[in-house]
Order: sequence, then C-alpha cells, then structure tokens
Amino acid sequence: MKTNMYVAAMAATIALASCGTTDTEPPTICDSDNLTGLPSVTMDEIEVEAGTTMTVHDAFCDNDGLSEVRWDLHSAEGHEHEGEHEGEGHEEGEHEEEFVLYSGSDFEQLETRQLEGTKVEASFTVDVPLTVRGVWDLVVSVVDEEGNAAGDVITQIHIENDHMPLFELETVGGEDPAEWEGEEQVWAPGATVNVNGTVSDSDGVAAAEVLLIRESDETVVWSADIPAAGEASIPFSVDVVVPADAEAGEYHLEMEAVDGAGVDMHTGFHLEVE
Amino acid sequence: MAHGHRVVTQAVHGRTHVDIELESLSVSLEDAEVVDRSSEFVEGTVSMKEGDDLLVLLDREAGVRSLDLGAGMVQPVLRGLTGSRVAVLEDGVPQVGGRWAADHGVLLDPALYDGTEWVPGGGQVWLSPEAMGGGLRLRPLAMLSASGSRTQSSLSHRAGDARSRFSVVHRQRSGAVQWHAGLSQTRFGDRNVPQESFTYIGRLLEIEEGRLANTAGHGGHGLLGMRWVHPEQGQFSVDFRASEVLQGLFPGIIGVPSQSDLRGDGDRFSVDIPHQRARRVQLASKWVHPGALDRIIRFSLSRNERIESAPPHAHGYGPEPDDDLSLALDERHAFFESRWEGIHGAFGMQAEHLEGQTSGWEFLLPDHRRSRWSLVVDQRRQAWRIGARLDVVKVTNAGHVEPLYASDGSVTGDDVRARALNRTMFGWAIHANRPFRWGAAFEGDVVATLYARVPDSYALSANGIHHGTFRFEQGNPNLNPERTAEVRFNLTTSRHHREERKLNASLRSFVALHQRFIHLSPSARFAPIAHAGQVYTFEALDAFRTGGEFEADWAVGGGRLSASLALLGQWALETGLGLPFTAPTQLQTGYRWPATSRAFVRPRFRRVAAANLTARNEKPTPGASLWGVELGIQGERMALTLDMDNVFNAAWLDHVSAYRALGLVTQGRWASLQFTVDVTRPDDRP
Repeated sequence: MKTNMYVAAMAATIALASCGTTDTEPPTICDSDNLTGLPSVTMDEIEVEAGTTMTVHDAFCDNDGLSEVRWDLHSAEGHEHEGEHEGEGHEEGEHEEEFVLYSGSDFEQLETRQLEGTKVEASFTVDVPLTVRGVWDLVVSVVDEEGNAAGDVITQIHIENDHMPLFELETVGGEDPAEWEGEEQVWAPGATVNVNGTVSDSDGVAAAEVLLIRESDETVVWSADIPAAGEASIPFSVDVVVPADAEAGEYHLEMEAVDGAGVDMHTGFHLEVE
Repeated sequence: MAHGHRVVTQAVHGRTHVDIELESLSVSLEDAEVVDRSSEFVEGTVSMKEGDDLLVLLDREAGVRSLDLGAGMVQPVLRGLTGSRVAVLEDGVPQVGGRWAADHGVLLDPALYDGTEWVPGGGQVWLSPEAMGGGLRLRPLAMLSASGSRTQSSLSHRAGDARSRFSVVHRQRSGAVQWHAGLSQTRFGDRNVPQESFTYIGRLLEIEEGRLANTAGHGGHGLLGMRWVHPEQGQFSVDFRASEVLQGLFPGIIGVPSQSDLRGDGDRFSVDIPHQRARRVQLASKWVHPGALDRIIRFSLSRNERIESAPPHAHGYGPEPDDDLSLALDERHAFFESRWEGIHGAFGMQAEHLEGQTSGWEFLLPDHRRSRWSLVVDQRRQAWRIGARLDVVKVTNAGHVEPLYASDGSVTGDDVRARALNRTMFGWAIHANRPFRWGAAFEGDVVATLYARVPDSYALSANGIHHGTFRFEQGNPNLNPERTAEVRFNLTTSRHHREERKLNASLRSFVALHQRFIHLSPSARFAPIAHAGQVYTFEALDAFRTGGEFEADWAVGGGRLSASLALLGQWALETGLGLPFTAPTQLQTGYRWPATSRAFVRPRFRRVAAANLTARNEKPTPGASLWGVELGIQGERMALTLDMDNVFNAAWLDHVSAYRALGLVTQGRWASLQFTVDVTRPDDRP
C-alpha cells in the first residue's frame, strides 16, 4: 500500500511541476495613432444618414499577438446590451428603452477580419441602405492568438432617414409611447385603442395605412387607411379595433406609407393580445 | 469431525463395554460475512441515497453533480467529467442517446429500478470503455425471494416549479417466474429563479415573473419485464423499457432571444418551440447459466431519438428554413456481452454497434457509425484483482456539404461542414485492485489503472452551433485515443456493525494523469456565423486531475449528524489553467433527529465554494450557502416526506450548470411533498 501511495504522490508532484503557463490577458481596444477623424466604437453613439457609407475606425492591442476582430451590426429592436446607457444618468441596474419606430430591422452586417501583431488599426465600412431607420447596435469583439476574448464593446448607431416617409406617434391609448420604457403593450380582444400621430415626407404622402397583424401567421386582423392626398405632413387619429374574437398571442401594429416619389416604408411596434 | 460437536478420543483397553456420553456443543458465528466475488461487483462502488428525482439524487451525493437544462434533461457529472466520459449502465448495458452532449439528459427514472450506485474513476474493465469519470449503474428489478407480489408507488408534488410526479412498480412472482411492470409520469412548469435579468452575447434581458420562460415539460417512463429462474438453467431476464421526455428550451438556448420571448404566454405548463423531444425504446435481456464456469450473456437493442425544434432561422445569408426541425438525432444501438466466470475470475467479450443519423437545418454532426469489439480478462490472485481489456473501435462518419451563400442570397460555393471519416483505433485498460484492512476498524482498497479511450464521434466530427452549450463547436478528425494513468485510494470504517457504530467515515481519493485529454477550448477564431461567438475546438492537451470525497456520520444526541466534503482539481498542464466546468469544493451537512420512533426532522446545509479554477475565458463563480429541511413520517408500508430546498431562495450560480454560461441562476426555493407506499404480499400469507 505504501508503494502505491508513493507512486501517487510522485505522479502528482511530476504533474504539477510540469504545469505550464499561458497568456490569459485579453486584447483591448486602445488609442489610435492615426487621426482619421472617423468615429470609434468607443463612442456612446454614432449618427448616420441612410443611403450613406459609414466607417468606424479603431485600434486593437494585445500583449502577445492579435488574431481576429469581428464587427456585428444588427438592429437594436427587442433587446438591450449590457453596459448600454452607462454614463447617461441611469442608476446601475436600471434599464430604460427609448421608444423607437424601426424600419428595415433585418438589415445586418457581420464581418470578421484577421489581425497580426500586437497593435493593429482597422476600419469597418458599411453601406447603410435607404430602407432603414432606427437604432442599430455595433458590437465589436476581439480575440488574441491564445483564444483570449475581450468583452464585447458596443455602440449605438442612430440611423436617420429623409428618403422615406416618417411616422411619429404622439399618443397610443392616451399615453405617450416615450413613457413606455420598454414595456410591452398588452391589448385586450374587443378593445379600441386610439393611435394619434403624424405621417410626413418631403415628397408628400401619397398613401398611408395602419394594420393590426397576427404574427403567428401574418394575418391582418384589422386595418384602416389614413386619408392622404400628397400632403407633406398628415396628422392622424385612428381607433384601432382589436377583434373580439382575436386569438391571444403576439401581434404587430404595422404602419405603412408611400410618398409622392413612390418610396414606401413599413414600421410599427410589437404588442400582445390577451 | 462435524461442526457442533467436539472430538474426544477414548481408550478402550480391551473392555467390552464403554459408556460414552454425548454432549451437544453450541457454536455461534458472530461475523458471517458474505463477500460478492462476482465480476459484476466493482470495488469502490457507492450506493446512492434515494431522491425524489434524478436531479435531487445526483446533487446530494459527494463527488457527483448534475448538469441540467430543465427537470427533464439531466446528466450526471462524476468527479468533474460528464457526457460520454460517464457511462450510464442499466444492468451492465451502456446507454446511448447523444450522451456526448451535456444538454442531452439521460432518459431514465430511478423509481423504476432497484437502486442507483456510482462507480468512481475510469479503467474499469467491465464498464464501458467510455467511463473515464466512472459509471452510474442502475440496478434492475430483482426477483422476489418467494412467490407473491410487491407494489411500490410514489406520488409527489413540488411547489416552485409545480412539478407533479407519479410512479408505480409492481412485481408478481409465481413459482419460477416473475412478471413486473412499472410506469412513471412527471409534469413540471417553468422553472422558478430568484433573478431579474441576465446577459447573453452582450444583450441584457429581463426575466419576468421570476420564471425562466418555456422551461416546462413532461416525461413518461415505462417498464415491462420478466424473470425466470431454474436450478439448472440459471436465471433469464428480459426487460422492455420506453421513455419519452418533452423539455421546453429557454429561448436563450437557441438563437438570441428578444425581450418578448421571455415573457411566456401566461401558462407555466405550456411548451413552445424551442423544445427538445427525446424518446427511447430498449429491449434488454440477460441469462446467467450456472456451470463449471458460470456463463453470463447480455443482449440489448435500443433506439434513441432526440428532436430539437426551434423557430426557423438562418445563421448566414442562406434562405430561412420553412419548418421548425432544427436538429434530429436518431441512434440505433446494439450491445452484446458474453462472460465466463469462475471462482478465480472471469473473461469474456463485448460488442456494440451504434448507427447515428442526423437531420434538420441546424447542422452539428454528420451521420456516423461506431463499432466496438472488446476482450476482457478479470482475474483474482490472492488478494489482488487484476483485469485487462482490449478494444477495437471502428469510427466512420459521412461527409456533409451545404451551399455557401453571399450577402445577396446567391450561392457562391460549397460550405464543407464535415469530411468523410473512416478510422479504426485501439483502446485498452489495465486495472489492478488490492483490498486491505487497517486494524479492526478500517478497510479499503487501492486501485492502479492505465487506460486508453477512443474519442467519441462528436469530438471527431462536430462542426456547428451547439444550442445546448450556446457555442459553435468544432471536432477534430485527427484526434487519437487519450491515455490515462490513475490511482485511487479508498478507506472506510469496517462493514461490521456499521449500523450500530457511533461514528462511520469513508474517504475516497484519486490522482489521474491524462495524456491527450480531449476537451473543448476556445480558439483564436470567431464562428463564421452571427450569434455564435468564438469557435470552440476539441483539443488534446495533457491534464492532471485529483480530488476526493470524505463522508462521515455519527450519533449525536439521539440523532445522526452527517457531513460530506467533495474536492476536485483539474488542470490543463500545457497552460496551467483549469479544465472547463471544474466543480468547486462542496460541503454538505445534515442532522437527522428522530422526533418520534416514526418521524424525523433533518435540517441540512450546503456550502458551495467559489469556483476560481477556471478555463480560458471561463468566468469564476461566487460561492453560495444553501439551507434545506426534510420532515418525514415512516410507517411500515408508507412514508410521507416534506422536503424544502434553498429555503432562503438564494440566487446562486451553479458552476457546473450549462445555464451558468448565460449568467442564469439555479432553481430557487422549492418544497416537495412525497407520499410513498411499499406493499409486499407473499402468497403463503395466512
């Protein structure tokens, strides 16, 4: 028995003595040497115009050697990132979502690029289509040669759009949507909800419509036209009627408009019927 | 000379008459010990305490943990190893069913067996060669000792996740034949968690109403079997088992959830996609035929299906799928064992074949086959038990190619996800065991073993997003068998009078040196698709593992105080970092106080230390203190138990849990009320 214990003790000693070490320091986003004047992912937010090209420039550093950087641009609709709104007067743990009417939320861009060396400057360039409006998240991830990953760095891209019609909501059910703070709207079957706002376009609004769509099968369960005859701005007040026999579930209040140049847009917000 | 009489020699000296008075002699045997010398016995085996379900059963055992993605998907973790590195055996038959994946729970209910035990450590020659971490053995229903019947039934409800369970097992023996049947049903609601928000791939999401949405489910298990015993032909048994589990998957497991996904639909029992449905049917038989050499033959056929359904989504620029079949895994498995056994040992062979087919739009693993042939020798020489096994394993898998899409949706080439593979590899094990006694009070054994394990099909050919682990995982077809040298030392108080002893204690420890230990590590590359983070690749790095368990219970003030301590250290030697999911030190204590002769109260305390031994990019986990209490009333044929866990509803991260990677805490407070009945009726009752 003693022999076995000696063997075990020896094996343990040899194993621990032969233990290697490795670099565990993750890469960072560091100060750029080149004054490009381009925005950085370290900014709180970046404003861009739809139809233009956006470039974000940053420097990446690692003590041993960089491997890859990845830019992930996606719509911010429906979620919030850790660390967002920090330094904007919010208490820790308090997460307020501003109300944004999104268009073209499926626009996204994913780009991965190999890096070599301990400091590399790289730019991410993307053409912002004319069909999008709202807030997008740009998430930048970096990994070094050992596989150490830095925490994601995130900035918000506010995409303005003068090309397509714009919906602005003043009240929904008598409440300013800006006060919703991320809360999901819950409407009851048979309810009538007043939606009040304006639709506008510099080319004039040719047609506009409000629809209630059941998300499970994309069925339109209610709709109403907003009278439009080419005006640049049309105030509207629509009573949305949830059918009394509406199935409980996820719905979307869709707002659609076409401007005088034939440019159409879709926007709206998610709600639940129960 | 005959036992019970003294031998006396009386000289006759030519006399014709001699009177001899016979006096009976009384002999008592105080220590009659029956030692199981069968090769079925494995030294170091630990019988597990009873638990209301598999998760509770595993978590209350020192050295054992559970890894779960819900009440219906539970995997055992033995000394820090899980998945295919832990063999789960039903009467010696290894269970399959996507065992390589941590999120693929084992399809069984402990209530339909005659007990559960675990065998720590690898290199056991009769267990599956996969069993590096050890094995979980489920004892089949035994034959009643005489004609009659026995019915065991249990009914329970758990507040917290509103889980309800029912199980019944009935045995009916008539002469040489016993029939038995069992059934269990479980239904559970969304898991209760004391948490308000979590983070996934940088997205901060709120948990609403204190529940993990869509983690409800249900499961059912059935058993039908027969035993036949004959004094010359031996014992023949056959069992048919069927299981089905539906487990809702928390939306964060597949894809990136939106806040609206986490709200649920108001019905805590409803299961929406994503969900996993798993089924098993298995026919297993065993024949023990006595002879000059006893012959044991085992045979099993099984089919395991696992179907993951999820909202259709495409990770690249490809078209969105038009159905919700994310991944289906269909495995057909056959196992055969023939064993010859004498008083000095046993020898035999094992063969098994696995045919695995995958489908669905989320590629993870190609169609694969695995065949194993093993020769086993297990000999006893004086006090030693020495065994050896040689495995020949043939692994094949098909290639898999998908179209590669550009951002405009056009096909620009081929995305080769798997290349065809056809390899034959050798595994082996040498195992030496030496029991010993240390005075009258202690006994134990020392095990030294060397073994090589052939990598599983998943480690060789995986290449895709693995929903259950939230990662893009990539196999390596060039991996070779991993080798291990392991020494185990067990010491326990002697079996004699263990029940009456004031203090019982046991110590189990191990030291293992692994060459080319295969495990997932983060690579220096990002996954080629969104929402997948880094690519995790299977790497073979030398590793060192050590640890052990200490358990003790002693009589204090009319009750019994029990304590256990589990320690584990696992390091990748090349980097000096910990291996992933290394379970932190855990202390469990409890005091069972008999309030009356039929009732008891058992408060308990569990301290889980902070997990600071972590792998690359793995975050440390803070420690936690958890309190529980159990109240029981025990009758001759029934028992009523109230069990409350995590009394103070502590929010704690389980370092071993897959949910921990999402920052999701373990289940909060729950209380379970269980009523059990056990009725035996012999046929010759008056």
